[in-house]
Amino acid sequence: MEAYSQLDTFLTQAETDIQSANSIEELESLRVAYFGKKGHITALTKSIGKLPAKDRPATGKKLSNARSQLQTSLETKSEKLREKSRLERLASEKVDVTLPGRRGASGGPHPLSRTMFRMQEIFSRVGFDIAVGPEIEDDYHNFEALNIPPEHPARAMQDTFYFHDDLLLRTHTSPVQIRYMANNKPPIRVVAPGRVYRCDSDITHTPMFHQLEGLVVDESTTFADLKGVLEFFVQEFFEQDLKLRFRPSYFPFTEPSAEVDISCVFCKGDGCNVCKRSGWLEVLGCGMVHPALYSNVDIDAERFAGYAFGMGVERFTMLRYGVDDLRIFFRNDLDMLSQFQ
Amino acid sequence: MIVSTNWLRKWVNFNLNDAELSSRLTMSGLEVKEVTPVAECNAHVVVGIVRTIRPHSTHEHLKVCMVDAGQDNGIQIVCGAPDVTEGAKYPVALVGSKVGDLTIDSRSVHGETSSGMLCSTGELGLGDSFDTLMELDSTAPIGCSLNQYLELPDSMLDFELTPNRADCLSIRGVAREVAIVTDQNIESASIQSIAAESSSSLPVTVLDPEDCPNYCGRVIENIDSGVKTPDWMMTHLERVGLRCIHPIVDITNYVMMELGQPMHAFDTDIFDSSEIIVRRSKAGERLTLLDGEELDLGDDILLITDRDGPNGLAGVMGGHSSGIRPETTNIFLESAFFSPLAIRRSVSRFGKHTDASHRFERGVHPLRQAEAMERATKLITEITGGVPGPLQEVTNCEFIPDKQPCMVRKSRIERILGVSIPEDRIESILRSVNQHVRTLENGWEVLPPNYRFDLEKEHDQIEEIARIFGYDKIPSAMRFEMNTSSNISETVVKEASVRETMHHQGYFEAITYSFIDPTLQEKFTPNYIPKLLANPISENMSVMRTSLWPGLLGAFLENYRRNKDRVRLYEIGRVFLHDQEVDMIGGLCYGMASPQQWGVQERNIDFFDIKGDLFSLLDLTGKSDQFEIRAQPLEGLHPGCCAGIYLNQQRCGSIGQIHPVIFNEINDEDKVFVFELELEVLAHRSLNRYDPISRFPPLIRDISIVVATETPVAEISNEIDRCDQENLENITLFDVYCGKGIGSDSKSVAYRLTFRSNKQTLTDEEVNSSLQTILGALNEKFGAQLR
Repeated sequence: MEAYSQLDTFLTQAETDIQSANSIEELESLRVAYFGKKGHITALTKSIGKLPAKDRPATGKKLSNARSQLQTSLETKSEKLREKSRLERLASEKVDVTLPGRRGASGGPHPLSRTMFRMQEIFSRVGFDIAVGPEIEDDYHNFEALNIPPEHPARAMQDTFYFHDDLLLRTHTSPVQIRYMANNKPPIRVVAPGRVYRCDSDITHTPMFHQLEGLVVDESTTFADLKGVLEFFVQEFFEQDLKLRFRPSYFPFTEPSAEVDISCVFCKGDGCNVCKRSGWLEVLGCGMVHPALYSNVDIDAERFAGYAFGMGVERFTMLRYGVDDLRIFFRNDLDMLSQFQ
Repeated sequence: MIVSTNWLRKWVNFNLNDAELSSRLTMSGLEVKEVTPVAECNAHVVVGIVRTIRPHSTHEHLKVCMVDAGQDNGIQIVCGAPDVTEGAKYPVALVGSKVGDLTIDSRSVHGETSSGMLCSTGELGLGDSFDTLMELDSTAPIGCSLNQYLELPDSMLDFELTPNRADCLSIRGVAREVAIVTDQNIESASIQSIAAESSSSLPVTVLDPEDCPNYCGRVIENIDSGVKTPDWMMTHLERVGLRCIHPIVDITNYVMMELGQPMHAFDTDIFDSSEIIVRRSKAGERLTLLDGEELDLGDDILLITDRDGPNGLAGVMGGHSSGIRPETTNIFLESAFFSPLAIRRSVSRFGKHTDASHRFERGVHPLRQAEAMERATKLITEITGGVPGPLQEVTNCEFIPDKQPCMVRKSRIERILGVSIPEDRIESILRSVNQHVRTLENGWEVLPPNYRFDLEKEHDQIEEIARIFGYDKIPSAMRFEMNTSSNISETVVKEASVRETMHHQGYFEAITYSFIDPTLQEKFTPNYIPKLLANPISENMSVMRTSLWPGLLGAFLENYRRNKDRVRLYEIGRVFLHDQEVDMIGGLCYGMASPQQWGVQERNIDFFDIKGDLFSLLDLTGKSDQFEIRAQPLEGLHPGCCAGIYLNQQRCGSIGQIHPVIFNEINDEDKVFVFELELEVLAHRSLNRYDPISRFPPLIRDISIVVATETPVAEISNEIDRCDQENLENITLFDVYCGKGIGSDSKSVAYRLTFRSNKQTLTDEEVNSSLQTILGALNEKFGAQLR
């Protein structure tokens, strides 16, 4: 039959058609023209039975080769066209990667909270628990039990807010010492962060501020341990190798008492405006717990001893982040808060 | 307290510069706050006397003075000062000296030669007077350099003394400490007793000996009222920051500064000078003080009185009526030991802090009153003249604070300080502070001096040893302890997680004052009387907050006024009820839903934004579905947009929109939303429980129903949930619609319901039957129609 003899011509033409196809759709119509129900190859396959028997094997083989050749060509071409169209799509999908990403805004902690949390974290690494106490206190816990009897000159140093019913706003976090010792037996190892209040308001004082109190009482703690723990804390907090200076001082609830100076974090001790040219910054008070406190909480002062310390959170925050005005902390201006995200 | 180093050197010989001395004193517990040098004058400024004065030949306001400044010939100086006086002595700047920027040379002043300058304190940099000459004592040695005469240069050390170290409130006291830190001896005060030259005295009666265990007095008559305080004393007093007032007052101040004993002088010509009675006040008594203030004394205030009434607030301030006047000639001098408690009573009642009360409150030596009296008498008779009467002393030994010996154990020192100090070092320290020390087998028996009120017990002695040994010589120890007592359970929600959740939702933390404006407070809790401060800083900070909202609103306003178009703030803090303090978390939000950016439709937030934020917080508990938001009217909030937050039928917070009337300054279209929640409800979560995942496929049905507008959606959801407890896995509300196609008083609510069983693949029939049950129930309960 003629159609079979022209198979080679057909194949050559089909090959040309396939290669010149420009789209998947075009290619698909060629496939239908060859292999569809009414396709050329399909028709030839169907009519192979009409050939003389002797011709069938050779023609059948030829036809089979032609089919697989066309199928391969179609597939290869199809892959090429898909690749081409994928590339075109990708090219069309190009974005300006420098445009900002879509997002909600994130907030952040108040710098004072941030400092308090860092302080707690550092102390908790060396075994301190957190203790809390009320902010409205009585005279006993805020003063008397801390060895500050009525009319003690130390009371004049702390301008106290009073209520009409003899209660007061705690002037320091030290009453937490008393409350904790009254309710827990040694060994004791706690820090107590919180708000404190003094009736004082000017450039360097706000009527409310924050302290972190520390207390350790056990059978072996000494002044040397107090020095060690505060040196550790200061290095960790400022992440700088700072010198500490323990100066004898006086607090009614500790003895021996000390004020602690650190070498100035701004000038490294060379002298600048912040440290008033002294090279030192006074940052906290501390000492060995005064034995008078133990008698108020039923702890044996012969068997147990320990230390206490108290530090101003505002002071540490100002030094850490270079804040030069205490009063900005309580204005809660977003321009300030957003700097501490 | 300010101390001059030159004055100190009269008591103790030390060889240290100011910086080194300050550092050693600071490190031994006497903090030197500031060192102020007093500069010396030019070496060519000397003491000179004006011998004669004649008017200038052409300029009548100028005077031509012949001055003897100790040189061979007199010096002619033209002087413009109106007060220059013949025979008076002044500082003379000789030719070649420099005064300020001016170099003195010999020159002609309108035709008259002038070879020097008579100086004022201002010109010499010693004071602030420029228009009057600095007149020197008639006894000033002519030709003596002014530096030598005025003891220049000098330094003023400003001490920040701790209240326990009253013994250092004098030159002698500081000198004792200097002696210790420099290992020197202190000069002992050579004070002789002054013989009485008359028999004049006033009978002294101490009615409250407990308040005044020792009282010393002396009458001095016929003092010369025309004398001025000598230069050397003025120099000393000015260098320690005291103003010169009157020779008698200056002398009592001088003795107080030198020895630490406050004194007082009464003018006996004014008050009824027949006797001195030391007693407590009776209610109704009044006294006008030297500073002019009239006090209603009340009872129990220690007074110096006569028969007619009070003449002074003992140990604090004298009375106006018996004060020293320029013309005073007869005085009664007082040197007493008043008990600290008595003085503290007066100080705290009247708020009068004086140099005297400062010392008495902290404690003066209880038996050295006579010493100060003799010292003052000697100075008075030398400077102003006068006839001293006999020294009177009334002592009540039983009320003199007694020093008891105290045992100091060597083992205890080491136990507290954590360092082993050699025994001989400990002993020498104990002795260096003038204590009587007896060595025992395991320690020492120590008797401190009377002036050390702070040394009583063993721990006081240990502190004393530590401070003199040097805190810097105590090694630091670092013993790390494992924190075992505070293992935090997995079911505890850390406050840090709460904060982080707020931060991720765009909230910044605010810290606001615990005391707030009562008028603002009242807008939220009109029927609650908050705790009221008795002594607030100001009226708008006078009540303790019962809600975090007023503080957050204040912080919001601060930002609103600065035109911030998007504010999200939260605070974690206490509120103060009468019987308890409660930790709360409060949130406030205002403005755009998201920050302005490209590609996102701008819109303002509404109630459901803050409610969403709240529920993100509640999700921390793992049971946010157990919280219920109930519409209910709340003071200060928008009546149509406020609710209580409930857990297990207990109210634990509130949420809503701030009522527009709360702030006039906020535009009506600007809406502010707030919530507040007890922090405790966020503190715990239940431990997660694994629920096996069904192997069978889910079947999904969307339903859309129409109900009356006011039907709360939460009730519909609850009802759906109740209808199929077994196979209904999930209920998602995906649309609420009002408007076209729905009746005007109706709304359409659309849910996607997911059915799934753990046991089998559900059939359409099973799901449809469940759906029919649900729709039936909704119809019955809410009149719901399938849309």
